[in-house]
Amino acid sequence: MAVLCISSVKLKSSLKMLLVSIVALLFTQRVLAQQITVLNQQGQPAVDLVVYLQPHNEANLVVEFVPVKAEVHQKDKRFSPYITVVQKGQEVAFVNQDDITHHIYSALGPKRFSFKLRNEQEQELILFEKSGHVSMGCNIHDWMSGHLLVVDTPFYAITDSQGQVVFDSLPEDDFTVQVWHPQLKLTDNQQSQTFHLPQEHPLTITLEAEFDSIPKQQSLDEFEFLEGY
Amino acid sequence: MLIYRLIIIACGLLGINQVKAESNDFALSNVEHSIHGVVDIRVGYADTIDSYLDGGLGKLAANNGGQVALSQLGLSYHSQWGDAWSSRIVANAYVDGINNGIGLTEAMVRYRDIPSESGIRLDVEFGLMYPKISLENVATTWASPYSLSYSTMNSWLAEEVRHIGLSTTVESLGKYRQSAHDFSLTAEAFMYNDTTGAMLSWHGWTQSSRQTLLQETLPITAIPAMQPGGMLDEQAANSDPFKELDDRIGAHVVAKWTWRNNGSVQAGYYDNNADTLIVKQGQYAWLTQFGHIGAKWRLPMGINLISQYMQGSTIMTNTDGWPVVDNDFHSGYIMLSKRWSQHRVSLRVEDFSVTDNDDTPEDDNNEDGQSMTLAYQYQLDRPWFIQLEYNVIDSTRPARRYLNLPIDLIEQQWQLSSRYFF
Repeated sequence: MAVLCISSVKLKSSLKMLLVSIVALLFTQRVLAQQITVLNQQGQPAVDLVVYLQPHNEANLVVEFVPVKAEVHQKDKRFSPYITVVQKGQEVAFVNQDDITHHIYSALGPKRFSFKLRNEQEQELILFEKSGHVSMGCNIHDWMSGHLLVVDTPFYAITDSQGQVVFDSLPEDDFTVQVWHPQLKLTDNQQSQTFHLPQEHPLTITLEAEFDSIPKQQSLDEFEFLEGY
Repeated sequence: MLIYRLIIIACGLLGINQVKAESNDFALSNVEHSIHGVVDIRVGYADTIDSYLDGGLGKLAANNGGQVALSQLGLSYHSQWGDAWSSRIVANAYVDGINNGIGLTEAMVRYRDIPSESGIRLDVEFGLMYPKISLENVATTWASPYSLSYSTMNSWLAEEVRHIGLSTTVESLGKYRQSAHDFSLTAEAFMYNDTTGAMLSWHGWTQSSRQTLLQETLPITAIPAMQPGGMLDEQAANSDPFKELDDRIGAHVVAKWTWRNNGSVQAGYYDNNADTLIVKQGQYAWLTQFGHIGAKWRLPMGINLISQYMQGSTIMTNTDGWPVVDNDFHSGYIMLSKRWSQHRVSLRVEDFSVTDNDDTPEDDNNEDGQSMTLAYQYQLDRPWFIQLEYNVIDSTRPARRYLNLPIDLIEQQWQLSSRYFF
């Protein structure tokens, strides 16, 4: 009996351990990072592309982490960065770093606006309530061009110089993985594939299309004191 | 007066957008002001004859010998009302000891809204302005970022091809069509430029950075035909380039194609539509018509190409319609410019001519010439540029014999400039 009793205690203990392990394992899976690499058609890293993941289970859209506040700068008569991505419902700060006036506008898409940033360091906050592509320009400096993608998911990033993005805390689910760039020659400038994520190994996505030429954001007259003649 | 008609057309066109503008906070409380400008001080040495600025036949703004000059003090005063409306008044001053002056060179109101959903943008200007031709003069107060002296064709625009008019540009921006190509069409209607062509005929092509001031008149070389008894003896001694004589409206159209990251190409046609039977106070109406083409292109190795060419004719008649001055002309330049860190080097070569088709004695307007400009620019600080420039003009002009000057002449100029933009 004594032996049996001990065995019973051991069994309970073992079961408890197993349960903890399973929970731990589940928990570990919940915080498993997912690395995604995007390659162009030549197999080279595709830099500055938006990668965003849409979970098939809508409950997974609710996350605890707070998104980083996005800023779009006007510096040296260019939009910097050229591409910005934010989640629907976020505010974006437009910051003029030049000592001249910029007239920033969006005349198309889910959000239309027009405002002047006259002084250096002047800011304007714009709230983006709808998802979609916002193409921005400057009505004074036509060569300036910037893009904002508003997505309906908290899981988004922009590929680095290695063509990589890392999603640190991804719930386990089937995801539509979208890769977007304003010059990607595909319908809606994006490529979609479905994967069950996170996976144990890094995921590699190869683009199915080429890019149009990316604007240089530079006037044909390289001079600081142009006057719109 | 027909100028009122122009103003009414302008008001009508601008009024179309009034409602939209009001929604953009069109209120006096929202007016913003700013002043930009340039201070250009030069020391120079010229191997030339008396300057055209002084009634001579020299092609430069300088007389023979050394010179220190305030070559341009330009001020550009902007006002902006809301997002779409603005005005610009440009004043210039020159202190060169040859023809000092201070006055207005441009004054206009402008409506320029953001593009529509389909990428169409309307840009309307009304006032004292240049026709949209020059590809060189794009900096504050119509200065050139590239060279101190403008090309001969743009020097002519600076001297006597300006007007009071209405300029309407419709642009189609390619990024709204998933395209790298922008297109624009500009139509301009204008008055107050009926003597355009007189200076080009009587002193030929010139090369300077002088812009005629609104109140200024231009001294004409004392050619024999203008002496008592000559066929041109009723011509005033000075030409008034902003004169309205015939109450007729002239026109200029220009189409432009811009290929993103590569360059732009434009072509246009200008016709001042003057009635040459009109003469008032010694100012004749000259019928001046020309076509022009131009390109700005990015070449390999960071070299920019800027090139323009114009060709046309100008006619002045007596009150019976008999052609007294009947000239064809052309001028073209090719400029290569490269900028790297604080340096810029520009090289410009030009070819120009005036062909005299009339039989008026003692008024030979023929001219044929070539020119080369080499400029080096060093950016000392963001707004401060030091520029060293050499110009050489080799021209043949038979009319120089009227002044006992050589028909074939090579003029040269060296200039060192400090240009401060703000």
